[in-house]
Amino acid sequence: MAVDANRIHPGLWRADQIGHATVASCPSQFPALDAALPGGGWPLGMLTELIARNPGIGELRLLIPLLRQLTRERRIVIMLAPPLIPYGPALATYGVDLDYLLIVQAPNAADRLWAIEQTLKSTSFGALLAWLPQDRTRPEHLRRMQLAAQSCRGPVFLFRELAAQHESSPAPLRLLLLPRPAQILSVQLLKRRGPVLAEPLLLQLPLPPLALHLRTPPQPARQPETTPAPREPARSLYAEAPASRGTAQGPGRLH
Amino acid sequence: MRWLGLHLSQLPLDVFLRGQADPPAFAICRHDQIVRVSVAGRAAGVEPGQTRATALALLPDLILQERDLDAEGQALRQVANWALQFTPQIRIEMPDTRLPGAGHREAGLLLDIEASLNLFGGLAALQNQIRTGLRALGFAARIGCAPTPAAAWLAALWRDGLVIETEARLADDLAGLPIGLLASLGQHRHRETARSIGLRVLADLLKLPRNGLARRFGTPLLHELDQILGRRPDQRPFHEAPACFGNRLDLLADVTGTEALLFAIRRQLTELAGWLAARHGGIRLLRIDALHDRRQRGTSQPCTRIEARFASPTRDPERMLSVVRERLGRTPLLAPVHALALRCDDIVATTGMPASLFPTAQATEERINRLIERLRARLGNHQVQRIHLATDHRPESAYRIASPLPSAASPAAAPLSPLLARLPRPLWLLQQPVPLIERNQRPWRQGPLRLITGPERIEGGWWDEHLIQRDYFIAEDEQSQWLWIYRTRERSANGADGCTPAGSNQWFLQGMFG
Repeated sequence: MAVDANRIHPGLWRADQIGHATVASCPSQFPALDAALPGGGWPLGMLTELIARNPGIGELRLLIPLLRQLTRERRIVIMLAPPLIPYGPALATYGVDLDYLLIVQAPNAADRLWAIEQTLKSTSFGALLAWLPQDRTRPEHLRRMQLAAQSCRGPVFLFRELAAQHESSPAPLRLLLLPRPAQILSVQLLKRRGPVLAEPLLLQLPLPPLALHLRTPPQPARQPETTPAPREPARSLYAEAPASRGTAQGPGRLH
Repeated sequence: MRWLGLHLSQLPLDVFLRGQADPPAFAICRHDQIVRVSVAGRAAGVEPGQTRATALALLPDLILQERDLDAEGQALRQVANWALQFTPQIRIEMPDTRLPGAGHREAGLLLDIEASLNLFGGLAALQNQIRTGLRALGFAARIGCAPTPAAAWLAALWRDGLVIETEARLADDLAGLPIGLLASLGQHRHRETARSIGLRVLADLLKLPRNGLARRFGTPLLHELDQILGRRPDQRPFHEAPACFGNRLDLLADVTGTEALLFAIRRQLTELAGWLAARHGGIRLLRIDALHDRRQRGTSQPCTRIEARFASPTRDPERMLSVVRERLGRTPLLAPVHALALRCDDIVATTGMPASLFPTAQATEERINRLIERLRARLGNHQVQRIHLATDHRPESAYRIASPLPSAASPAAAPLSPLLARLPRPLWLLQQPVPLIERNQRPWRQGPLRLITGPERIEGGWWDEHLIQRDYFIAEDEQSQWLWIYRTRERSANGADGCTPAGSNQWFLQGMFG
């Protein structure tokens, strides 16, 4: 009786499977996350909502592998109405090619919704990262965006505030992001084309180069246990630190 | 040789009405007599030949205007500019006011299309394209095609769509042409003579002996007949395109509505597109002055200026219109608009778009450019940005906001310095560093902050008045979010310049690791 639901209709999947067939995707490059996402990555041509308490909890680092890959493929990434200044040197350090990054400022909420729709209609971007005005976004706006997104060839991320997790949304994929200690990001899949995932995924965020030690740790006792398992690249950077310190004269002094 | 005659049959009306989406009842009169009537006027029973009084009695709302020959000549040259995209060899047939009976002479263009047929996909396709284009410009046209210019012109005047294939067929195909259409028989006395000896059509004339014809009607008629049949050279100068483009469209009534203005602007942009196509050029900047005064010729009086900028050189009227639409929506009009003057000075050479089945990188870039210009038109030029790195180690000076479009004027982006690539930098930077309070000798933001790494000492800026002396740390707040904070360092006494409060070791939040 193992009839594959996808073979009956591409839009059909069993409640205990993940709907793979219909979704074109590009990998998030977080294996745990890719396994849980329908299509095995960030879906293309549909909305993905990223819900977070405030900017800076790791939502951008979650997308860094994707941005790096797209900009290296010379595809334009558009950041629409970012809440803070996307910092160029850091983006470049992570390998994002700034030539293919476009920032659009739209302080006015109506302009911002208009700009999102125009961008979706143009369909030619590599990825769209848009920050929605929380109090001015109505379900019909999202429905229009979802419709417009269907002809796009890139992933579309809408960043929303915590209040949005209780609202209904036409976005087929909704993620709730929460920071956890030691640069772990908890990703809870509020909605996906597939079974409900009860447990949030815990992803290790890419760390910035940590070439500098804390010279005088305020609480030396707590230092080792709160960074339990830094990832391999980070550890190697720690190992390099003494050498770099020698060239930078003292505690990372530049001038 | 193959010539296309374009007869602008309603030119006297069209120069007044083409800016109107919904033309009113309108008539051209000349010395108290109605000459031309618009469709809406005809529907009410107004006919050419009636007197002013009769027409106004039939339709009190009828708008009457004297014929404006200047405007007609101007419009004709504008159509010629537009038509240069089809062939560089265009002759203008203009009513000549110095000749008798000039009011009855017709206006139009003659296009030498022999060399253009292949490019535009044959005669039928070319005719279609010209007809569609003229409709978009707002001119009614009749088209005839023949091997000689004179015959093509007569064909257009006589029967719309008449095509004469070869010179040998000229005499036969034009046999039924009423001789009243011949220019050399324009004089009243000649027409009377012709009628009295029973001449009606061209075939009648061609049967008569040449010396007899010359005696009765003069040699100009013989010359004209020879030119029609291709026995005598017919050379007149071709129209030359002006070096810069400007056109003006007078509106019949004062307009305030955006859609009504866009209708008229679409006409002008179509014209511009044709002219640009002829020059293989595109524009980056378009200026439209909405003039508010009927008599206004220059721009000395106040006018509403609409400027549309394009991300890449373009000559696509739809694309230009979409940007103009956004600008127009954002620009308040000073007063009702009476005329629109369009100008563009800087023509950029462009290459044609390859007709490709699959989306190419070039097509994608083109779409992005169009998106950029649409966004810029509504949000403002500075709201669409790219980030460039700058060679400066101070965090707020290490990047630069640049225009989204690379231009010669903007300096190139600096590469990422290898040293900076090994230092921790946050993905989000705050517009302004936010002061943090200190509790128990620890920085505090909604809770105590725990320092993870640091300090990284950044100093400098004596060269541009933004001197900084800071120790940067990565700090973790109680929600485990990483912040980039710094502590200012107390100045030595001789270095104090008032930039920082004296004696402070203040904590600031400058970024988040995103």
